[in-house]
Amino acid sequence: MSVAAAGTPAPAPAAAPAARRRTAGGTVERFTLPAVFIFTIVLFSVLKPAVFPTATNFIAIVQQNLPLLVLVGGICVVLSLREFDLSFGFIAGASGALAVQSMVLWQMPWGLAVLIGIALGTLLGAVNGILVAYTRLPSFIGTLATGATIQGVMLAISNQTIFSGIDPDYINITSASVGGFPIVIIVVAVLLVAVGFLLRSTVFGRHASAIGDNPVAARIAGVNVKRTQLLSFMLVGACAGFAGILLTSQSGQYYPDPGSSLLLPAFAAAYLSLSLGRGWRFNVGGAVLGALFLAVVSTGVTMLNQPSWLAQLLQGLILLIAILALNRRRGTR
Amino acid sequence: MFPNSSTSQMEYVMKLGPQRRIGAIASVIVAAALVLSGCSTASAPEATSASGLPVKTIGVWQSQASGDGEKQTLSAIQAAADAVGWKTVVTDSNGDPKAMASTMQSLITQKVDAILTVYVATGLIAPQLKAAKAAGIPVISVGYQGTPTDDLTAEYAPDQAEQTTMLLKRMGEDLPNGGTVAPLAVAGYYGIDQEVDTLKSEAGTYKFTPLERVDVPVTDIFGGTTSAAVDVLNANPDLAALFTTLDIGAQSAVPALTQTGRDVPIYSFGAIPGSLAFVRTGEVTLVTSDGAKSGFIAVDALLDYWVNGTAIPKTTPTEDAFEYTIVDKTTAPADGTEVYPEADFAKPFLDKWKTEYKI
Amino acid sequence: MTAWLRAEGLTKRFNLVTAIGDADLALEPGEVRGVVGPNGAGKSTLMQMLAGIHTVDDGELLIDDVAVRFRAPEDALDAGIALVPQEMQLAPHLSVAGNIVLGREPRRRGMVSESRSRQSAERALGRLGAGIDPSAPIHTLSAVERRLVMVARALVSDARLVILDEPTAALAPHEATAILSMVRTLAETGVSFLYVSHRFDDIEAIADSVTGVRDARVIADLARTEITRPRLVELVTPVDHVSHRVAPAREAVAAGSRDILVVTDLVAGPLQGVSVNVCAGEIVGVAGLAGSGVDELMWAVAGIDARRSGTVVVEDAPLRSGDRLHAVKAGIAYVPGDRSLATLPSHDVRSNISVASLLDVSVAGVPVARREQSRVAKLAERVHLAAPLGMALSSLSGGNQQKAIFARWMATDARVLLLHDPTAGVDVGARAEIHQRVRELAAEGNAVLVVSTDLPELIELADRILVLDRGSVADELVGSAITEPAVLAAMTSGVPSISQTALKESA
Repeated sequence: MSVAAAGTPAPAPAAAPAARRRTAGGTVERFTLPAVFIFTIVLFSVLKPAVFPTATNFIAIVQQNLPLLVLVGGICVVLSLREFDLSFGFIAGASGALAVQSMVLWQMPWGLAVLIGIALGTLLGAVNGILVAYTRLPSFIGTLATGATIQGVMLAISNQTIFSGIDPDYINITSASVGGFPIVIIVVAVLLVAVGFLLRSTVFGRHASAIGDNPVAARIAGVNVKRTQLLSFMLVGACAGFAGILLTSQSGQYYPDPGSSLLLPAFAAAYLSLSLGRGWRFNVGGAVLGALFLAVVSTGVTMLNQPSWLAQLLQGLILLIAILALNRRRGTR
Repeated sequence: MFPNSSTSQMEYVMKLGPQRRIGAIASVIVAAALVLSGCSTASAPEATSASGLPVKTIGVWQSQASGDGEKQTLSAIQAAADAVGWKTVVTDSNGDPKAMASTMQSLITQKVDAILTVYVATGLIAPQLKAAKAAGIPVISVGYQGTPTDDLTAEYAPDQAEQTTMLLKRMGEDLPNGGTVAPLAVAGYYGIDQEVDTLKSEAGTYKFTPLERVDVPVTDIFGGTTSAAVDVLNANPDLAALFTTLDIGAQSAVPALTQTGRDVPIYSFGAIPGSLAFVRTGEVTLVTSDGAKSGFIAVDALLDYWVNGTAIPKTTPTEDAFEYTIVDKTTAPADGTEVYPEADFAKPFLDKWKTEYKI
Repeated sequence: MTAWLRAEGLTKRFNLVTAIGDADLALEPGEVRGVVGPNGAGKSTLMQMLAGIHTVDDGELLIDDVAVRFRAPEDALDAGIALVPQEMQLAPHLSVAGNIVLGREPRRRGMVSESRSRQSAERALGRLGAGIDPSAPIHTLSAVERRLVMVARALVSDARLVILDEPTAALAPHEATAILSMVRTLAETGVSFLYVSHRFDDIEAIADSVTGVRDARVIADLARTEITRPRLVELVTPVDHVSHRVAPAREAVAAGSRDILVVTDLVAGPLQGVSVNVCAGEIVGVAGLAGSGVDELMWAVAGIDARRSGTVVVEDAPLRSGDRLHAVKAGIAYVPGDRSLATLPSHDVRSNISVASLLDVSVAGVPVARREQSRVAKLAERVHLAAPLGMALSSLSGGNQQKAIFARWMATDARVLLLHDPTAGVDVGARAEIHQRVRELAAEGNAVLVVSTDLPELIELADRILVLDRGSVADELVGSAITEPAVLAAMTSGVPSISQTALKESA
């Protein structure tokens, strides 16, 4: 994820992957969304030349959306299995709450608090995974239920804003920077590249994708369906745990239910990835691009001093374009 | 639950297959949770009135109970009700419009004697308000202004427009050259609209230019406010002030200053603990009121209505008028204390009830 | 009597492939014409053209000497031609009457009239001579009764020609009798039939004439007197040279080589203690009617379904019950005819072949693209799979999909090959090639267990055939004892058989 490159005119980087993808067909559909993306950025840049196409602005957009990006990485893995996780927002909230509480109530060092937060996320993800893989609970309704349960417990434990007693180093996780470039962006970028590689290039990812295509056939072919499901949910849980740390570190405080608002944007970004990546599959790169694109729209609209409903409207239309492109692509099969 | 019955439950659970076992465990947990909550409800002291006051049950309807401002208001309502020996039935809609209607309906169905709505969104529960009116249950909006409607019996809430005028005057003093002001808001709340409208109409007096209001999603007020503040700061290098309209607006805008490394003053509303923390460090200046007092005003009006038959006044009685004050770094109360402590605004009411009703 | 329906030179092409070419056909009122031919010969395409599902590319269709051209199935229905497909779906919770009039509900002032629906359903059922309650929900009906309801559906639209595609495929022989007598009854009222079937017994019992279709051509038009078993067998036997049986290394089997797969006293589903052993190089076939337990045998041995008791041992290693992963590790490959159980449709050919053996081409859990590619390419060549490896599997023909699944298992160290209808829905050429691969795999020392509803296939492939009947082994046929009548007799030994001549006399 190169923020500097995003500031320069974009046609060259967009054309290179397109050439590789040519065999997969659906040229018009394939270019619709990237074209809308580039057009939008150019439009905002022309209208707000002094403030929009600046490194500061793009860094700010990325930084604002770091928790979302981390979640998007995880959710792509579960979606490629053709399962759902509706609980990750609450897992993020619970992990953030526990991390903050372990510093405030139990005076733990910030590093340990981070580990505890991520561990809780992984554990809750494992609970989801066990329910889905070993008791064959449908993941959509199953994670809806666990999500509500986690939310209830989280609200019961810390039903108020916590702003004192948080280690300044914990807040530094997201605010430390080198030469104006936040270090956490590099950490998240590395994480996302790793998740993307895991999904696309490893045996685990290939098996996940096979399960998503035809779970019965995958099982008969000797794919360990249950283990893959469990690991995927644990991965989402861990990502959610990390997102919870980022959320609370960024705001410098814990406020009730911080992750719940990430649910829909994460799914929207993941579905945008279907139209942005290779092979019309869920992919981390496309999802990250999608998430940032949606964020760029809302930032651009705010910067243009336009009413907020315009951002909502544009984001909705973008999703619609993506889904229509996807449908047309499917129709031509 | 008898020990025997729980053992047999466990045996039953063990006999089942893994899927049914989990279902059974879940049902045991649910049952246990219900029993526990039942016990705690039952163990609450029976409301008997030693002083011969009528024994009443007050329904408390909250749109979203987790906010600090809402908690202060609820605490005042419960203190007032306890003082006169009334029971309270407290509901929380968690910000969910469907739950708002259903919790209101449940209070009406339970035939509570009166309903106090905390931070009401009248439009979302309009049918229930009509039903309550038809059933003769007084509904009083407390704490925060709702969209005016005839179906509310009364509303006791601080005036947001008046507070905005005070805040603007202070802003004018702090920033004599005026400049650009960015209002960060949430759509659909009457009180917030009052604040933004007042800002727009009076900004010229102090040479301020308000930007278009940014409405953050209701589902993501905290994060949305932070993001919007970052965007506004980046878009306006010369921004004079951020104007946040909700009580949690101040604390959610502060991280934006950290992230952008800017030093723009934040002006806001409501001295809740979260925002006071940043008032003390100087990032925030806010206007606040003793809005939580509205709980006592409402109980006072109901007492007068049920004991003496006096009609419930539709608006805040002049003798109980709310106080407004600007809180900044120099006037902020110490950590753990409030600008308007409950004990202070409760005292005149408790004294009055002691003499008039012999509580 | 003269023909009311005549097809002259009907041709249908898909892209450049001619599915059926220059086909002639004539039907008299009340004529029952059998349509016989191997899989993929073009029978279905011809029937679908007559029923308006496919448009006619060339040739003419004449009804009462007037040329007609169907653009949609509705046009054919209006002209009195109704097709009852093999896999016709009924709405299980609607009533019999509701299903019969579905889509053609009699209306009264815009509302569906229940009473008139019932009347027309009763009339149609009455013509069939079927005593089915029109108000019974479909899910309470037997397979035969459902088939009759499908025909009744055709009658409601006043069909002059009913095309039946494999109407008895899913039925036991004694159940088929009900269908046959229904066809007889209706034919006497002047309704013509095209009766597509692999069951020679049915054809012999019912057909007034037979059309033979092979290699996209009509190759025979037999009159009643010409319908004999040898002629029929000849019609379905592929002439493709690759299909001729290549004798595998029989000596290896004869030498009593060691058992690779040993199944002992298997109890699962309807199976009541079935034992099978297959030694290296041997191909064992299993035959049985629906419900005899042949499917469950495959699923239990493959580890797809759990077994209640009994053991499955592969090369001296006992397998855990219902543990597919363990079975794959022990070397049990499973090739189903139902490709929804095997294919990853939106994955490319490469991934479909390599999915079961990814770890073998990986370093630290990451498949090495070069190794995967070379391995897959080699296997694709071995199974004669001509499609590009980057193509989505769903865009391949059934035969090529099946070859890819074979290649998948050849990539693993499978020792036991379970084939479950391995050539279902595969064209004639591919079928022969697949049979050839199976023989080669056996010759390499693998154990092969085949279950097939396609009896000629079983007979062609197997060294030994076990016949299952209601969960138990009813018979075992070896070598020259393997003949179609012998297998059929064993399959239906426990079923009260109905003399075909008796049926004809009654008709």
